Amino acid sequence: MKTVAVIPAYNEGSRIRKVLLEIAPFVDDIIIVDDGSQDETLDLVKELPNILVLRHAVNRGQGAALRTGTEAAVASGADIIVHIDADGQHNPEDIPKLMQVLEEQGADIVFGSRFLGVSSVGMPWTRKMLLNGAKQFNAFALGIPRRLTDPQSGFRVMKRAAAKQIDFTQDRMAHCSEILQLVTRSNLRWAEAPVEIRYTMDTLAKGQKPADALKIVWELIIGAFHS
Amino acid sequence: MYIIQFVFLAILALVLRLTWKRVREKVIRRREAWLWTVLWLGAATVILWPDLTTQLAEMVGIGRGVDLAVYGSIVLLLILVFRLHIALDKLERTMTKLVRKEALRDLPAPRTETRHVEPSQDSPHV
Repeated sequence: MKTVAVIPAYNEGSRIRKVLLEIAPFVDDIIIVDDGSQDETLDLVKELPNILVLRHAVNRGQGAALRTGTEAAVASGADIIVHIDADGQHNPEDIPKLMQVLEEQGADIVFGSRFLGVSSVGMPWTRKMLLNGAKQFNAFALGIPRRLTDPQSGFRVMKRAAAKQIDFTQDRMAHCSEILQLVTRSNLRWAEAPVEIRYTMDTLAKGQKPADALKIVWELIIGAFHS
Repeated sequence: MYIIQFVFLAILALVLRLTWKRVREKVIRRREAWLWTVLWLGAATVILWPDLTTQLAEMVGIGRGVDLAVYGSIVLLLILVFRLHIALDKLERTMTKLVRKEALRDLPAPRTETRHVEPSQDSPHV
């Protein structure tokens, strides 16, 4: 079983090496998609062994980079594909836990959830409120079941067949909701597992802002009009 | 006829001519041209008989004809802006596909062997 981690990265020079070294023990291969970074991200990861580095010539967004990496993982013969962020918010030690759920529950895809008992480190209350709002929006507007506890989970593990089936096209932040919608409306078996998210001043400064929620809603509305 | 009516009608005539010229040039489709033609002729009708808008406004419960024209224009502009956003998004997605194709161009052939890294003792690797 070949496990490949797909990591989209944009201007992550300050922390990418540490994150990659943390992830490496838990997977067989790492594919990093440098999404048109303007800092030293590309130079830093090029030096590391056993890492496939792909480069978007221009910044296309996290969803687009994730899809590029996923296609590369499938093409490279991956059996299990792990989606994990480059900013260190996801704890790589959760990868085996997600894979265990994948195996034990016979799921095709397992989403990491911040709301299944493991408390996230440093999560602001505004983020909690926003995620709760996102959950309601997902349920009403996108028909995503409410039993799915984390509406913006970017930490997921999936089987090769699921990766090939999930045809997500949102380039930017809306891909999380889009993937949830595609999976819960398909014949794929899905599950959730608790994961720890580690918020820091650094990641919060670069991460999603409350106003981004409106952008995501807008992207989903526009996306719904594509044939 | 007032001068302003004459000016607007002249502009509409030019736009109408341009619309059908674009059909001949195969820039737009005939069905689309008919939609535009209906719109231009509607505008010409309103310019020639402005009182029509007042009668129409009263019919739909809006006080003045000019108010109806303003509201209608706002709705039309919103629709056009929305369509523009959709077109822009399509363009963005096409761009992403091109960028992805370029990124995956030199993808190495799949390796047959896989590297297995034993987890460290203190890690909860299952």
